[in-house]
Parts: sequence; structure tokens; C-alpha cells
Amino acid sequence: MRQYFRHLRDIQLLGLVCVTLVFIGLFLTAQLQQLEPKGSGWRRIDIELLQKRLESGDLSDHEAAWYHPEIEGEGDVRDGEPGR
Amino acid sequence: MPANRFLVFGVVLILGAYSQIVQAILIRESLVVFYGNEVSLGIFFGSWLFWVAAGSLVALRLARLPAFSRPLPWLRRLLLLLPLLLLLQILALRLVRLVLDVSSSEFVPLGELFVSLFLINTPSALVLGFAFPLACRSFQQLSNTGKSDSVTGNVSRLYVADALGALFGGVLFTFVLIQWLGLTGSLGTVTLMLSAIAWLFGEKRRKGRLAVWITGLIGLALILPQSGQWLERQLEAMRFSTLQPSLELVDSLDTRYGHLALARLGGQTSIVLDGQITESFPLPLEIEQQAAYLLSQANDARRMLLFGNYASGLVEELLRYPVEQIDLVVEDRRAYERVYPNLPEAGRNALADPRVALHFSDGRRFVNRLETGRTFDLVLVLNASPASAYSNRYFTREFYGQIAAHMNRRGVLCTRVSSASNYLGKTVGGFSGSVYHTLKSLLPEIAIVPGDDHVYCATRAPGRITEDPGELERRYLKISLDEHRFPAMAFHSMLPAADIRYVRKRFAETESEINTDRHPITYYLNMVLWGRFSASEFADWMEQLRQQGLWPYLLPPILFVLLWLMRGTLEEAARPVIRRRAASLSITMLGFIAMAAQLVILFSYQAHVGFMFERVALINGLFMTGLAFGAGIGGLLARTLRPAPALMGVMVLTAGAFAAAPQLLTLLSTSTDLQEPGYLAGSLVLGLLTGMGFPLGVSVTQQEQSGVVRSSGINQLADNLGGAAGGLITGTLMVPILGVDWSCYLLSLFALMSLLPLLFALAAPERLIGLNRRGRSAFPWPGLGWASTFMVLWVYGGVLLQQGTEPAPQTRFDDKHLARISDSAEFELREQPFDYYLGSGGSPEGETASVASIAGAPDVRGYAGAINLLLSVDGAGILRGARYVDSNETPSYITGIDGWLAGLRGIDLSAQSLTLQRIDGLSGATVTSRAALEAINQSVAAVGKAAFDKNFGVQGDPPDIPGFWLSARFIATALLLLAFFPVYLSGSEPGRLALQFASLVLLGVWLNSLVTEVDLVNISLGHLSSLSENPQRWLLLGFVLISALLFGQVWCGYLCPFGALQEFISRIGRRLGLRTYPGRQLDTRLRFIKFLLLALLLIGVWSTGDTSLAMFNPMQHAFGSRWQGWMLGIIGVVLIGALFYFRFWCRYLCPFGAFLALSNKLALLNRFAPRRRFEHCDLGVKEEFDIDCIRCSRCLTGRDTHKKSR
Repeated sequence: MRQYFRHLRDIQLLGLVCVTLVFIGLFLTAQLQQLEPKGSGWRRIDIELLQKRLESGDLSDHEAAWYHPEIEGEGDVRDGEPGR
Repeated sequence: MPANRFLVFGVVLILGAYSQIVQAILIRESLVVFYGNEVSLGIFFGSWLFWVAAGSLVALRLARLPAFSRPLPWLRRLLLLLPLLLLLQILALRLVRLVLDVSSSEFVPLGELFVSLFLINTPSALVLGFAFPLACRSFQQLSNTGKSDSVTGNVSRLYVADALGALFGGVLFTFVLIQWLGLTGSLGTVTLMLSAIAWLFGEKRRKGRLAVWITGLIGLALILPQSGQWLERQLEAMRFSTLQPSLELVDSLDTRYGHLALARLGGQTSIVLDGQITESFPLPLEIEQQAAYLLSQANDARRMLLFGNYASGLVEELLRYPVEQIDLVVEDRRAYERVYPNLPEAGRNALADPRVALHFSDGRRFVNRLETGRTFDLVLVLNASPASAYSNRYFTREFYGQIAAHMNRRGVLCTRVSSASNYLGKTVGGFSGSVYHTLKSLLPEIAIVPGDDHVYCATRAPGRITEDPGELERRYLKISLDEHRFPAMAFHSMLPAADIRYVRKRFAETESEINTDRHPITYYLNMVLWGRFSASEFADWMEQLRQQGLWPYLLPPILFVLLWLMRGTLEEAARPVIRRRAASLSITMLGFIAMAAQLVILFSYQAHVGFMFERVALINGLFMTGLAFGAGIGGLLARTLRPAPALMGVMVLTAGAFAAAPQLLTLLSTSTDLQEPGYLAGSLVLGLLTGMGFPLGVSVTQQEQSGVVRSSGINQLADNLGGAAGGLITGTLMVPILGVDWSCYLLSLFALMSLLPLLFALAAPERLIGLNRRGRSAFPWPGLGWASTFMVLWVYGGVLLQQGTEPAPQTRFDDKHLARISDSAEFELREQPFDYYLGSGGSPEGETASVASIAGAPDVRGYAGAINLLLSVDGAGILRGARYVDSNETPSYITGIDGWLAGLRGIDLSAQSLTLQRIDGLSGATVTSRAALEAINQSVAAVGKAAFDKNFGVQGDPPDIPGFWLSARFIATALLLLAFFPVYLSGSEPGRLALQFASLVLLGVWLNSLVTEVDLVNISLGHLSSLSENPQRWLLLGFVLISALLFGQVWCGYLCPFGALQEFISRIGRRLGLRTYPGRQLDTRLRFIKFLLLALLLIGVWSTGDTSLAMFNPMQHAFGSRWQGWMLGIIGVVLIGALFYFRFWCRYLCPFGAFLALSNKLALLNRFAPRRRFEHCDLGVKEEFDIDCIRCSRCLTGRDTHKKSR
């Protein structure tokens, strides 16, 4: 190792290269973080919105399709696609 | 006892035995913890051999140290350390699910499985790998002959000892230890063995003797029943608590198929096989329903065949029906005898019923041995799950074929597979669909019971089975029963017509393959399914590999061999060195093939015979014995023949054996009696073939007698590294994805490919090897350089393969998306002349036509290729909406595209198209904006004509590029590039500086048009704007590439604007007395960094698809005034660095410069260039094809160079 650092200018060069590489790493990290879509990661359920949609009957149509009618054709909104 | 050669031989023998025992114990532990999934085998062997190789490498490095001049004491210490390490590894494996936080009933994600096994294998494997070279050194010291040919003999003898020890260990473990002593007893026995042999070394120091005694006592304690069994119970409880924490463990045992536990929760008892619940009892209602359904389908069944399921109570329920005989096949008698006392009384009575015939046999073997003419009315396979190769055997075409042969004309086969109750996605549908399609290929009539588990009842006879719940109800009520307990109305809820229709529709739409013994696709799909459930990206990657066929496996060895040959041709290496390298490569390949062969045998054995859990040590031991015999034959060949040609002969023989292997396996599968002996013999023969190569390779690679450790270490390293790769790739990828047959063919091809380096080493003409003028390396670590080249080419090959299997761009959309952009309510798909949707209802403005721009305007290109937008127009030519779907444009340039497109809603396109004069483009993305608008114009025109027979937009609008071929941009660039030639050929320094200045101003400041890594990446991925769209870019790219081919790195030296900027700053630095030169060695090494950056950049972008990883070069930002954030820091450091070091960025860090530097090796018209004066070069360039000459041409005058101040 000693043979590589005979002069101060060797340390200077190595320092410059290392600093540049560090900056490159930081730049790329910042770049990748910037490009992440907003709102990615953990999501929370908006309870208020869910409540509103439930009360307005917006979701009830979907739920009914999960259950099988006793009488053929009753409430059968989607053809042959259970649970959708 | 003083050490002697025989003692060392004995040590190696014991270590060989120990190695087999440890592997068997850890494999069995892995299978239980990872739910019996045999993919853990490949990961196990791969990681085991990797660490053994690492241990050998450490031994090689340490061999030179004085502390290792006497290796015997170190061997003794290792012997005493090994049992403790094994105990820790067992504990680690038993706790791994806890550490990884994997719930019960969940599979460990494949990536985590890999990492955990990889780490857990480290201690024992590392130590064992370390021990072999030490033993070789001891043996050689004690031999003391001083002759070089004794090196080969000694290493070979110890190799034989190791292999014989493995056989001994395999037999001992399989037939004695695990059968009679259990796990802790086995552990105790090996501990005693190792301490005994350590004692034989005659340690003089008290501390050493004490260690031996303590280890021996621990071994004894583990063997004694009281202590050993107590420990075993504690270990079992620990493991079970991580597998099924909510259940109370009642009993457990190891069967030949796996680990079985009996557990309780409240009033219910469950059988847990390899961590998964297979049966629970009592479940009276479920069993009632099951029996009622099955016997309503096969309503006059009198003779039944039932596989497993003896504990659930199904037998008891079936006996209520008018059956004559139930043949019940139970795989393991010991397991049955342990479970039987825990069954309810009624269940025990049912099993003792005279109508029930118990057969203790493997299910496949039982069916194979059934006499011809023996037939059944109903066959039930309800307990298996294709989650492992072992249980996948009950879902293959071969098995169904055998069953079908023993079913009468109206016979019914019923089986069950897990699925999903509400939605069958591609993966779940493919998985359960593969069972469905496999069954259907032999028994075309199938009734489906949908739900979380699908039940399929299949027969040949039309009308025999039904999905009509009413019909089933009638059949059930007609059966003569004491009591019809099952409420037959429940058939209606079991068989909802809509659900069944949906399942059939999905099976018809989903691609499914037939599951066979040699291509266990269902087992593979189960792994993918669990990968998806655990959000493992590994599953997506496996699916991509499957779609790419054989190429992912062929590409790496082809590339490797080609680069190897290139290196041999270009580098200055003596023929003996090349021969040694070729021999090491052959040993590596033999190691790969050996391990791969072992895994092929293990998988095939498991698929046909089934109890690999019991026999793994024996199979491995036999393989190692084959290796020993083979090594003996190889040693003889090494002494009597020329080793290199003999090694080639072994490779050819190996290739032939693998090519013939599938046919031999077919032969084995036809005879039950021959199967097991056949597999064991096959293991021996394959070991023999691959063992022959080792001593031949040693003979070629040995240097001199003092290199015994090095020689043995190198060869063991090569062998084990090859084995690690072979185990990992074959066990986790090749066999599950390609199947056994194609894996064998590939291995045969690999053996043939490894002949090429040997042939080259032996027979290449001298002048070919001497073709090194261009190949002379100018920087250190050529191995790293070639390895980087291999990685880059491999990843690029993978990208090309992936592009070949990418799905077509999206042109079809669901109603929800169409409604959002068009406001229509109903849509009709039309496919001519391209896919588009006619929308109606919803909005009072009338019909709409919606289309993907890739369909309506396929030729429009953005900056990096086609752009796909979904857009909708009405009959009046009003744009109802546009949405971004997909493109390859740089993400940062198009983050606002959705908002921008939303702003186009309502624009009238009936008379006039969209242009950038009319609409503001996306900020900083003119080319993309222009392309998007053109895509909209052309798509609207096309769909307007197709849907409404109207001509929207002004046809033949001139593009708003102002006469592109005559633009100032293009002309200025062309003139600049033309000026290069006279300047370069004249060698004029003022001319070069003037050209650089012109480039700095023109290409840099004015046009901001540089050629960078982003262009390199775009070209590699085929993402280019069209020639008419951006001709100046094409001119620049073309010039850079062609000039590099002809003259080398002249772009950097003459025209790169950022290079010019740095050069001017460097010259200012020299005038200010700041310029300095580093030491030559440091300078040479630092210049290599740019090549590594290039390799990392390309690998990063290609493997992630994210081009922003290529955007760290300051020259991409310097002239665009994007001096902000960390880029400001980079630009600042680079420009300051240029003051002190000539062209700091170019010389040490520029990846694009590194790419162009490769052209210095070509420089086809170099002879016409000005003659460089290397004696004036201050940058260390010494010869014509030096890779690091940036063609600055300062050496021609020597005025700016300064060689004195170093």
C-alpha cells in the first residue's frame, strides 16, 4: 500500500476520485428517490371515503355478486364472474 | 500416537464420512422447515459447495503463513470444532421460520430461502473446505519424497479417502444411525468419532487433551437415551412451534418420506407432514359431504382404491355405502402404527373392517405392481398436494395413465388441488389448470367442484359424471343407505353454475402444460404461486426464464468459452499457462456437471421412487464412491497417457452419457423392481465418470512439489465452484423449469463446450496465440476486466432474450378505462383495420371511437421509441380524452404527461391537427411532446376514417420541424465533423485546439448536444428517435461510432465538448503551476475505475430498465445549466480536478470514454493517422494500441506534456 502513496499528490488524486464517486452515489440515490411515484409505499384505507361509498350504495352492487342467489337470475349482475 | 500418513488418511476418511452425514442431516432439516420443497436441495448443494470452495481458497492463501507450516494441530482443532458447528446449524434451521417471521401454512419466499440456507451452511462447509488442503499438506510433509509426481499421487489418494469416507458415511447414516439412533444419537456418534480421531493425534498439551475429553463426553451424552432423547424432544418442540404454533405436539417421527408429527387443537387432531397439515380428524360434516358427492358421481361404485386419507374418517363414511372392497394404500407402516392409536374408535374399527384391504406401499409402486385385469370403479387421490416433487407424482400424466389402465369402463378418478374460490388469475389458473388439463388428456369427461380447493372427478364414459346438482341429489337419494344424513340440497351450493362456468372459461383461456414425471410443471407452478403470494420477485424472474426456453442456460457458457478463447488469443501467456487454465476450466465444468447430475438423479428418484428423504445420504455416498473409483482410474490414466487428451476423452464420454440419460431413465420407469437399484447404480456411474477428470486435471495444473497445497487447493476450488453453480442452477432452475430430459441434454452440451478451451490449449497454432499486439493489457487485474466483460455481455444477452418474449403493446382495454376517457357507457371491440372500440350511450354527444396510438399510429417515434397513448374522439372530431399508457422515454422527462394530456380534452381535431404551434409542449421534452401530438393526430385520423368514415385533421400536415435537413443545427454539426478530418490528419495542435473550442461552443453551449452513456443505453435497447425526427443526433452518433472504429478514441481527443472544457481548464492549471502527475502505479489502477463504472452502469440499466442510472455523467448536465443538487458537487469537483490532473474526468471516471477506449484496440485505419511520439506522452501511453490513449495528440509536439515533475 505504501508504494501507492509516495507523494501527497497521490493522496490528493485518490481523495478527488473518492469524493467524486461519493457524489455520484448521492446523486443517483437522490435521482431514484425523486422518480418514485408519489404515494408509493404503505397505503392507508380512507375510512371516511369508504363509509361514504357504502352509505351511498356504491359498493353494495359489487358485494351482492359475491353471494350466490337462491333463485336463478336474482341479483345476477355479472355473467359468470363471481367475486368481481 | 505420533502422526503418520495413515493417520492423516484416516482423518480424511472420517472427514469424508462426516461431510456426508452433515449434509444428510441438514438436507433433511431443510426439507422439513421448507415444507418438503426440493428446490431447497439445489440451494443447499450450491451453497454448500460454494463455502467448501471458499474454505479451500482461505487455505490456499493462509498456506504461505508460518503459522500453517505445521497443519496437523490445525486439523485437530477443526475436528473438535465441527460437532459444535453442526449443532448450531441445526438450531439455526429449526428457528429459521421464526427469524424470517413466516407464518404457519406459508411457504418461505424463495429469495429468503436462498439467503437463509446460504448463510446457515457456512460454518461446516467452510471448515471442511479448509481441512482438505491442510490434510494434503500434512500428507505430503509426512511422505517427504520431494518428487513432483508424488504430488498428483498424494492428492489423488486423499481424494479417494474422502470419497470412500463419503460412502461409508452415507451407508452408516442411512441404515444405522438415523434408523436406530435418531438425530441426537447420530450427532453423538459423529462427535465421538471425531474426538477419537483427534485423540489419536497424540496431543501433548493438557488444554488440548481436555478439549478432546470434553468433546468425547458430549458425544457420549448425546448417545445415551436419557439425555439424547430429552434433547431430541426439546429440539422437536422448538421446530414444531415454528411450523404450527397453534397446535399442541403429541408425537413425531421421521418416516422414509419425511417428517411426520401428530398434533392437537381442542378436540381435533391433525397429521402434519413436513410442516404442513395433511389430514385432520374428526371432521364429520366435511367427510359426509365428501363421501356423498363422490359416491353420487360414481353412484354404483363397489370397488374403490383410496390413497392415504386413512385418518380423516373417510373410510368409515364410505363403508356406510354399499361397497364391496376398499383398497387403502398407506405409504409408511411406521407412521400408520403411530397414528392409529390416536384415531377415534369408529375410525379404528373401520380400518379393521374385512372390506378394507390395507396395503403398505408407496402409491406409485402399488399401482405399478397391480396385476393386469384388476380394476376399480372409483379411485380417490384426495390427500396429496403438488407442492413438492415427491407429491407431484400423484398429479402426473404417467400416474393418471396407470390409474386409467386399472379403471373399468365407467370408472371414475377423483382428485383435489388447491385453487381459489373467487378469481383465477394467470398463476392460480395455470397451476390448477395444469392438473385439470393433465387429467383431461386421458379422461376427457371432468366434473368440477369449485372453491378454495377444486375437486375434479374424471372418467372416460360420457354421461357418467355430472355437474347438475339436481341430478346428483337424485342419485344420492337412490343410494341404498341406512340413513341419508347428508342434506342433498347442499349439492346446489357446492356446485354453483356461474362459478363452474367461470372456472371452465378461465381454464380455456389460460395456457396450461401437461404435468409429467420428467417435466413436473405443476410442482414448478406451485413454486411460482407461492412466490407471488409472498411478493417474491424471484417468481416473476422464473416465469421469464421459462418463457425464454434454453437460451438463458446456453448463453453464459457460450459467452464464457468465447471470451476465454479471446483471452487466450489476445493475452501474452505461455502455452503451459493456457493449458493449466483450460484444465481448471474443465475441472470446473466437471464439478458443475457432477453436481447437476446428482440433482437430476435426486429429482428423478423422488419422482419415481419417492423416498429421497430416507436415501439421500446413500445416493450421495454412492456418488462419492463413484468419484473415488473414477479418481483411481483417472490417476492410472494420468500416469500412462498424456493427461490433457485423456481429460478431453473423459469430457466426451461424459457428454455421451448425459445425452443417453433420458432414454435410460425411461427404461427405468418401466420397471418397478429395477428402479431403485437402477438409480443407485446410475449415481455410482455418474460419479465414476466425473471422478476420472479430477486427477487428470491435477496432473495438468500442478506446478512443482512445493505447490501441493496450491495445486490441490486450486483444483478443489475449481471443482467445488463448478459444483456450487451446478447445484444451484440445476436444482432451482433447470430441473423444475425444463424438466429432467432437457437438463440432461444441456449438461451434455456443456461437457462438449468445455472441450474447446482444451483443444485450443493443445492445438492452437503459435501465431494465433501470439496475436497479442492488440491484446496487451495496459492496466492491472486482467481477470477482473474479463470477468466484467462477461457480466456485461451476459446481462445484455438477458435483455435481448427478455425483449424477445415481451408481450405486445397493449391495444385492448377494459370498459372502466374506456369509459373514463370517452364518457361512453358501452363499448364494442372492432378488430379491423386495427383494434379500436366503438362507444355508445353515456354522453349526449353521440358515439365515440377509442384507440391505442400504437395501433392507430404504429410508426410514430418519441426520443426513445414508440409511445402508446389511449385516446378517444367523437363523431364531430372532438378529442374526448387522452391517457398515457406506455413508452421508453426517460421517466424524468415525462412525469407530467398525464396532466398535459388531460389539458387536450375537448380540442377540435376535425379540421386541424395538433402542433406545438397550437399547444405548449412538455417542459424540456420537445421531441416527446411532438411525438405524442403526432401520435394523436395520426390515430384520430385513422380511427375517424375507420369508425365514422370521416377525415379528421389536415392530411399531410408538414411537420413543425423547420426543414430538418436544412436546419442550422444539422448544418453546423456537419461542418464541425467534416473539419475534424483535415485537422486530425494534419496533426496540427492549434488546429485541434480550435476544433475543440468550436465544439465547445457549438455542440456544448449552443446545441447542448453531446453523445453520452444515455445514447449508448438507448442504442443497446433499440430506443431511438426516427432519422427524420432527429437527423442531427443520427449524424453525431454515426460519426462517433465510425470514427472510433477507424481511428480509436478521437471523439474524446478532438470533439467532445466536455473534454474540451476540461482540457482548457487543465492548460490553465499548467500555466498556474498547479498541474501534477500521480505515481504511475496509482495512476494505472485508478484509470481502471471508468471501466468498472461503465460495466456497473450498463448492468444496472439493463437489469432494472431504469435509464436514470446512466445520468450521473456531468457532461449530460453541464451545458444544460442543470447545476443543482449533487450534480453541482460533481461538476465542481471534476473541474477543480482538471486544474490539477490533465482531463481528470476523462482519464479516471468517464464511462463513455471507457466505451470508446475499447476502440483503441481496433483503430482499423490507425496507420493513416499522424504517428504518435510515445516518448513525449505524460500519461503513460507507450504503444500503438494502448487502451488508454485518448488521442489528445499532445505528444506530437510535446509542448503541453511535462514529464519531469513526478
